Amino acid sequence: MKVVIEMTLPRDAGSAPLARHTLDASLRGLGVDSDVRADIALALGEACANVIQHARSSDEYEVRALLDDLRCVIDVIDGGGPDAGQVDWEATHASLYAESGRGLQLMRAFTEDVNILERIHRDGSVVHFEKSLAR
Amino acid sequence: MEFSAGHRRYGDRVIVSLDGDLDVNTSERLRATLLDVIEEGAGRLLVDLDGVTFLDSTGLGVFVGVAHRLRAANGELAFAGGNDRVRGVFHVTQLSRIFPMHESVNAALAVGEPH
Repeated sequence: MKVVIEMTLPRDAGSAPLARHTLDASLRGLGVDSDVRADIALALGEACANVIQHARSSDEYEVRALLDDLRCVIDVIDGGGPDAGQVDWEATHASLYAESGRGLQLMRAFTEDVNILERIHRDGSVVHFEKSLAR
Repeated sequence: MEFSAGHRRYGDRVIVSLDGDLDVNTSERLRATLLDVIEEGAGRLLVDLDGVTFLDSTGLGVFVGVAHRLRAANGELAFAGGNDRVRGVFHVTQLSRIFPMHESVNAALAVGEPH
């Protein structure tokens, strides 16, 4: 079985819980374990928060989730645009006392294959992560 | 889940109970809530995490910012309770090394006066 979920979301703070809950409902419907769902929700929340806080030139962004029996593959794609802000978490390693810079650290701890692709031609970026659903 | 908060005094400490999601959507309200409590004169905050259903890096960032503010005034920020996930987020980011983390509010109060 394969399930594809695509969301186009307004780049406002309320979109983060909306994206998390929408994906979580699907994963729950597919019988995915609550711990695995929590890992995915955290990583998705971090990816959305990054777009919301930093991709200032675009009004919308996309979340694409591809689910099958083995994996959940997520891409969070910011709309880019001529003045797209730098995705500033890439080079960041949080100092213990810093207020920001922990998003990527959390994504890497709880999910797999985390990477960030800069979209050269459209200035935006794609935040990608995967999570095994195998039981 | 929507965010809500309450607080009560216990001796020289203020226990702040948080409920719901602490994320990019609620972080400004979280910050305002904690700063309001400090404005009221609280120097030692114990944050009860038992009602927290989701915590991400934006919520953690608020806690770090509030801790800086408290430290400048010789205050303290400590945490109690929280589900495995919430505590796991503190551990992965190593914030459990800089914040006192107690099993529960009662356990924290039983520790007495560490400072």
